[in-house]
Amino acid sequence: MTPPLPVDPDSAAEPGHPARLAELRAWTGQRPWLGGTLTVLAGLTIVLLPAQGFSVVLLPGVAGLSGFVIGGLITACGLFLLFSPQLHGLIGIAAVLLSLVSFVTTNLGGLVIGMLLGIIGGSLGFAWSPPDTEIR
Amino acid sequence: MRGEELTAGRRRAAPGTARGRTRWPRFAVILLPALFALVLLGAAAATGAVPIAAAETGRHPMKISFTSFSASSATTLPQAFQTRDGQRRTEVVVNMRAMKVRGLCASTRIGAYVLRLNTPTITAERLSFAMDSLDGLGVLGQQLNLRHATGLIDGSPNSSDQSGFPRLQVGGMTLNVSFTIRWINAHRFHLDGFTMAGGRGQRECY
Repeated sequence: MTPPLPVDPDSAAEPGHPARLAELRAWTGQRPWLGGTLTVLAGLTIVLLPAQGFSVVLLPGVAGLSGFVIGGLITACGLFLLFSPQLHGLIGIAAVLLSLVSFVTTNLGGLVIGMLLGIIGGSLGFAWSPPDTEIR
Repeated sequence: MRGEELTAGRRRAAPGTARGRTRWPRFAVILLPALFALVLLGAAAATGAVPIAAAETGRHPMKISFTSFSASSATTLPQAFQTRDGQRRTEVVVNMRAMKVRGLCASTRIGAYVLRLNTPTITAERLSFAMDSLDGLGVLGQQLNLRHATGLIDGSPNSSDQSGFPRLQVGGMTLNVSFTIRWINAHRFHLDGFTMAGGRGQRECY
């Protein structure tokens, strides 16, 4: 977990710019929030598809369980992108690879939608650079 | 510029106001190979080189007909499951080995549209499905053989190629059966070419 982030007092003090919005802006600025959010959505899409209609899931073999395993791992990758942004490179690649694996193991990767969300989200997570990177 | 200061010819963001950014070249470096791999996977799955696993939910009435069917039945056992509203129901799980179906036609109606699939041969090394309810069964047959690999009662040799499992052979039979399949799972499922047609004017299998 990352420590609480400092808030720019200038932006919070601007008229018509609520402090909560400034906090949210500061929070999203410190992490690949778009990539993380897309990756979480990808994992949930893949998880929820086989879970529909069952209260106790007893699907046999890989076809039944892989949706939960792969979808859960992709969701975890998204959460790591949001809450451990320093791992964005490794986690981004893992999210992309897991999304590709989901194509052959889980309903064409959540009917392609979850897989594409995972690939784009993981790529955004990988491509994100933290704010302390020097700007030319 | 607010929030930034000049340091040795480079600008560094001040603490608290700095935001991360996306490096689009890095984005392309990982996205493009991933999409390329996806295209390869899609092509391999379409040609059968890469097996894909799929689970489908919902209730889809299907009409299925075939000219011949053979399989080695391994086990048939009841299994209990709980529905979303808390009811406990029993299903019958049928496990088959070395399944082979010839001249299969499967059709389903989605509103006014009919989707029909015809294939000359389907094989599966293992096929499992769970029947929830058997609504109707009508058989008009010409040939039904049930042989066992461990030998016949009179000691005559048998021709089953799956030792230890009874072999079921059906030929020239008209079978009208209606049942609900709760789930189906196939291992090494192979379609030997198929034609698929869909639209308003398509005929169902029967």
